[in-house]
Amino acid sequence: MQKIIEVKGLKKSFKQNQVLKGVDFHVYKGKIFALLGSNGAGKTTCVRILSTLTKADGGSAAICGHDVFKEADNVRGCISLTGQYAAVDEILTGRENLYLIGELKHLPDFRKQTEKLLSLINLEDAADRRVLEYSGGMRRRLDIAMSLMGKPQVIFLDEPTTGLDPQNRIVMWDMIARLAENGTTILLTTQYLEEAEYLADHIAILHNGIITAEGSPEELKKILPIGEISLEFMNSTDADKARGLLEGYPLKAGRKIIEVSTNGSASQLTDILNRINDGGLTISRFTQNQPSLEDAFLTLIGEKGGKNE
Amino acid sequence: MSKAISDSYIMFKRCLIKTSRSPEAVTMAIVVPFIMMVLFGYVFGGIASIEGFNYINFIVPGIILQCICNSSAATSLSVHNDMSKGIIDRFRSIQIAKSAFISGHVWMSVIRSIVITIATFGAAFMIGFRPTAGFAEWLVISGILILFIIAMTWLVVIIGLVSKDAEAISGINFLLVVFVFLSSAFAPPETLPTVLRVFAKHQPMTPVIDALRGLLLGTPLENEIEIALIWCIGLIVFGFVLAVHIYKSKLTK
Repeated sequence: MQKIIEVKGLKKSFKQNQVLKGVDFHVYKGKIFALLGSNGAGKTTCVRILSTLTKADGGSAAICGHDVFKEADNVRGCISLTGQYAAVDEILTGRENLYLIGELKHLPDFRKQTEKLLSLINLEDAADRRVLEYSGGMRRRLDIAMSLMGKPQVIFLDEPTTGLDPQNRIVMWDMIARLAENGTTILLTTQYLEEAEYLADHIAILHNGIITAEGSPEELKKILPIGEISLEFMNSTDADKARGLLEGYPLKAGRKIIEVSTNGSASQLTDILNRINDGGLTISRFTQNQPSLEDAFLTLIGEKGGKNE
Repeated sequence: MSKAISDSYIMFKRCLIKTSRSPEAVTMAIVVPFIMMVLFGYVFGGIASIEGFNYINFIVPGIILQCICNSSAATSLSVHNDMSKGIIDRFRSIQIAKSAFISGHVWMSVIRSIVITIATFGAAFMIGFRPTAGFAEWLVISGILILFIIAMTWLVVIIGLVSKDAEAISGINFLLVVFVFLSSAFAPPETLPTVLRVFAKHQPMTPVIDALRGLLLGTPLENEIEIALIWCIGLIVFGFVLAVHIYKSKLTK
């Protein structure tokens, strides 16, 4: 598979504040890549550097085979950016906004593309109204459509759903997923795990200026290999007995509840339940604590944060 | 080069659409010169008398400059709005000519000021302005005014680039209007107290107004035209270099 974005050792400081301390990642052509991180992690800085808006202090980056620092104009020819704040002109109508970008990109068929995009974002009816009258969701959709003008190979979406209501978020997710189906490479930033998990083929977690972990959503979940189950008993006597039966498993015992760590496999689970059953005990409630990406994320951030302090 | 021109034209077209979408601004731009003419010509014309001049004839150059300053002020705001909202990032991440964004605003501003200047002359004629200038004088007058308009435009572009918010912009633009007041626009500088007189005589508005007045009314001129041209061209060069420098440094942040 072709690497369409390659980032190596990217560094950037704003005065004393070192925002990026050497960021490495690459994105394969046609994939959705999510840069995940909390507020102020440096996601936007990263995107601004890659979209040629901000200069980096060190490292290298290439997009579509062009050096982002030395061949910025060539890079601009194959990317488009949708920033955090809808970059639309409020005084112009939706259609005029699209025409403007189409004309600036010197596309001979910009009118035709505009009609297609308007239908893609479901904005045909409002196309001739001023953006001033648009809702937040409509603005975002127009914003993305403006990015799609001229069919760029790589699209940067900086927090595409921040500030959208749940309904509009789903619409946006749909749109993004459909773009990737057409072979467009998408790099999106988000602070929502759910979003990264839903959309991305590959997730990189940016924390403290470096990529602390990356992989597919499934791979990231495996960072927490422990399948934890919790067993609740009728009384503390039963719980005590159960503790004896489960020797060998790491566990935390409460008064009536025992939390057992397993490797998540079915055989271990069966073994645990059999031992309890054979001991003549009854479990009043059984719950399995699935590791969420959230846990993985918090574990990683906690670990790395702790080491630094 | 042709890309720079076509991109600038697209940007200009955008500014033009935006201007035309604001009927209040267009109306004000045409009405304000009339109000200024009536206000200064009739209200102050009754009490002010300047030897050898019909007061309305006397104040026309100053009012013209004031209307140009007013009209340019809108450009500061639109440059500021584009720079502070995300739209500038979108323009920058497209392969467009670097100069297109600023030159679109500059063209719009210059053309709007020219239209307003013509409207102001129209208003002046309606309330009794009677210049003696012939064709040659009008050519020189047009030249000076266009240079002055371009100079003001670069200044307001700079104001738009550096200002933090709309309030700061209206504050700074007010200063431009004050410059017109503290010149030979409404009274000869000789009537001012010493400090203001020295200021009035050494700021660009005075030679421009004096040159225009001489050309319009046929009053004797020494070297006012030359001084006015030096000021305008100097301001254009200074404004252009500074504006480009600020714009570039803002972009590479």
